[in-house]
Amino acid sequence: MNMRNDLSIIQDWIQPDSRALDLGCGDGTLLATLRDRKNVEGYGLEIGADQITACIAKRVNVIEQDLDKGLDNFSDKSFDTVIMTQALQAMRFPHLVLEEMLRVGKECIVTFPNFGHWKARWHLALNGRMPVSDLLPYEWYDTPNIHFCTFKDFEVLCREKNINILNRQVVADGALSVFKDMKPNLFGETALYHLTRQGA
Amino acid sequence: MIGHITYLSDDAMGKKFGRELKAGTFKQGTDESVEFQVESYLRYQGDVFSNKFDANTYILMTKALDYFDLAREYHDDAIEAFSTAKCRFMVISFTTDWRFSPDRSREIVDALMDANQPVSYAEIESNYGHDAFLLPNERYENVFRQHMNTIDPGEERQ
Repeated sequence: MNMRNDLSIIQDWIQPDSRALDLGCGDGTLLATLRDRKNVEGYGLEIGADQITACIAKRVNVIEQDLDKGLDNFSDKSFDTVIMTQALQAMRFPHLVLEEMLRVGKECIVTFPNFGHWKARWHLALNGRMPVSDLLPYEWYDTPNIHFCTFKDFEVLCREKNINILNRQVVADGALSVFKDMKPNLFGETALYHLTRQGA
Repeated sequence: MIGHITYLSDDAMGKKFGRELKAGTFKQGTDESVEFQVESYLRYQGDVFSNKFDANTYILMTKALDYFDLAREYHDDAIEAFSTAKCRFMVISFTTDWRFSPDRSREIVDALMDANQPVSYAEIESNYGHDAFLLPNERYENVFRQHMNTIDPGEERQ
């Protein structure tokens, strides 16, 4: 199975035989892989009709639920890990979703595109227009991504909300990606965060 | 007739009948009685129904539905009731169905998840109320087909 880069890294952050909730689970690739390789049980939440059908075809448990309406139907610490890959920037209230994730899960994993990446900065600085790239292929007026942030922005939010960062990693493609660990906010394309409230 | 209405939706009834008249007029000075199309339709359906069904059978069936309570023998706890289940669940609801509304289906889904049972849930957009499950709908058919494809007749869950 051809996995997105970020998905293969976060697998390592999830305990075998644990229980996971995947918010915005897409076509269910991550949950199917976690089930097959690590015996992880769980559910995915999704609103895209085609994505839901794709999950069902993979025998991935998928629940049609709008994340912007909250996670009221899940009780505190009812999952070992709550995951959200590449969807935080599409939420109406990312900080509230993050709070909900930390309430429902003992640990959380969040990945999102880094708006501080040099290509985005370059695009804005030189063209004076909102970046449109292969990574972020939408025009500003017609995009699901309504809340972009950079790595630095996200870390500030974590500090303000007393969220513990257990692991952080960045992924990037291309020639300049060798610098991603030195200057993550400039050369990292995708941010991966492993978070918890416990012990904070 | 009331029962029949609950199988349909506001939109479906509105589109089919609206405020069209079968007989009479609203003009002042006439004493011809007014009958709406929808009245005539429902009366006809009522007549057909009462000839097809024995009223006592219908009362018995209605009572059987009323008396069914998933959680009664499990301390009124749906989670406990589901916890011994040995199958995978696929729950499907229709947005305009007010007989088995999406809210009730979500209640079932939440209890299944709390009981750690395998479940998927799809909420299908439709204007046809409860009857939607009998009518062609591309998304409904896709979801149903994909789910059925994953079922292995010899399968038994551990």
